[in-house]
Amino acid sequence: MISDKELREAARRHEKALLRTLPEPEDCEAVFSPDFERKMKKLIFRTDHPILYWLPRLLGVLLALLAAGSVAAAMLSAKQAVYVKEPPVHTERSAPTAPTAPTEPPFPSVESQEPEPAARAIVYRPIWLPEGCEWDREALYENEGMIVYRTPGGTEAVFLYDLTGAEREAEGREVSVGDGIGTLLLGQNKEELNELFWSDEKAGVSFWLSAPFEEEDMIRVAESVKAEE
Amino acid sequence: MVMIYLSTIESPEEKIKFEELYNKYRGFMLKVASRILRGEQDAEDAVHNAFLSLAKNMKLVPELDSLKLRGFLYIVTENKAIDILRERKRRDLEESLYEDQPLYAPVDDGEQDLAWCISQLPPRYQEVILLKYSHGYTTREIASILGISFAAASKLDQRAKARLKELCEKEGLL
Repeated sequence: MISDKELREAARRHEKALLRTLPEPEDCEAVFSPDFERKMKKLIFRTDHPILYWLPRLLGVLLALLAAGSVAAAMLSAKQAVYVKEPPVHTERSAPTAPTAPTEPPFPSVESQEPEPAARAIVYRPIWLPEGCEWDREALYENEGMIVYRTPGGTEAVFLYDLTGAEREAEGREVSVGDGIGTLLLGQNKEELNELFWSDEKAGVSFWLSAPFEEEDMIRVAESVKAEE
Repeated sequence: MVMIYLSTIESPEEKIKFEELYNKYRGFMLKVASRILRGEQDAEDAVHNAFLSLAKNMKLVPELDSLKLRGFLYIVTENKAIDILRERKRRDLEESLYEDQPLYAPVDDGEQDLAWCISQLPPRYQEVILLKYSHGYTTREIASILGISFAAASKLDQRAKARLKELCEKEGLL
């Protein structure tokens, strides 16, 4: 077993040895091509004047979007109808219920323009929950699912999975979840729920848990998640 | 995307730092890239891509004139040079000499210790080990510096450590 301390010392030693094979920066005189100089000048200009650089481009994009929007609206009115149906909801232990998340879910909601069959190959759910937690409702779609549990304190614990493996940028602390790494955000006060993001790289699935559980229990719930065919 | 990079340079200090980096270290970075890439144009592209990455990650760039900064620039430039090398390999079907073997294995006192084992790792693995253990960056920061996803960075980290462990066992260090 290599300890982190040993690894740190060895990495520093190796880096120093690597740098010894290179000349000092001040001794590295180099002549760059005019093309490189032009690109870098442009980059430095953008860092110095981001608004001047981007404003005309943003305006261009906005105009293009407006034009595209007008065309789309014209096409839609020609068809005279847009049918957006409620996402298909499948629950195993209760009658179908429209999902309502206690907090804004990190994954996009599923909207379908045509009724589609209930197609869900795999469902993920935790097989361990802290004592007293009860299943409340769930909404399972083709590529994502949300399961809501009621905790003894009456708060909702929300578990979501996304089969597309879409990542979510989150600032938080890295924690180990099984063999992988997750990001844990602890609520700042009693009202704020803790959140944990992690993924199963092999299966290409990302997960999110928002619950009032202790850190240890958040990770235990995450590690207990299993796929159901 | 570039807009996001550059909008991260927020303070005037960071802008000055970026320009100083460019003026002081571009020659050094070209030297690093030229050791990996044969073509002058490719080496310049690697340096340019490295500066784009620096612009995006100015908050993570070590202090100017420090040894840490030199190591950091080495890693970022090497990373971008290898990206170009890979791209060229795909394009020209040119056989890469660098994919799975170390680029440089400087002998450190001639001892076959843990540092030597790190030097025997493929460059991608070395980069992640150096960023994490020599520089102390988190996996998320490493992902941002190397321009890869968090999942890819954590996988790279795990594989690097597994390969290092194998090497150490082979050398009888564990």
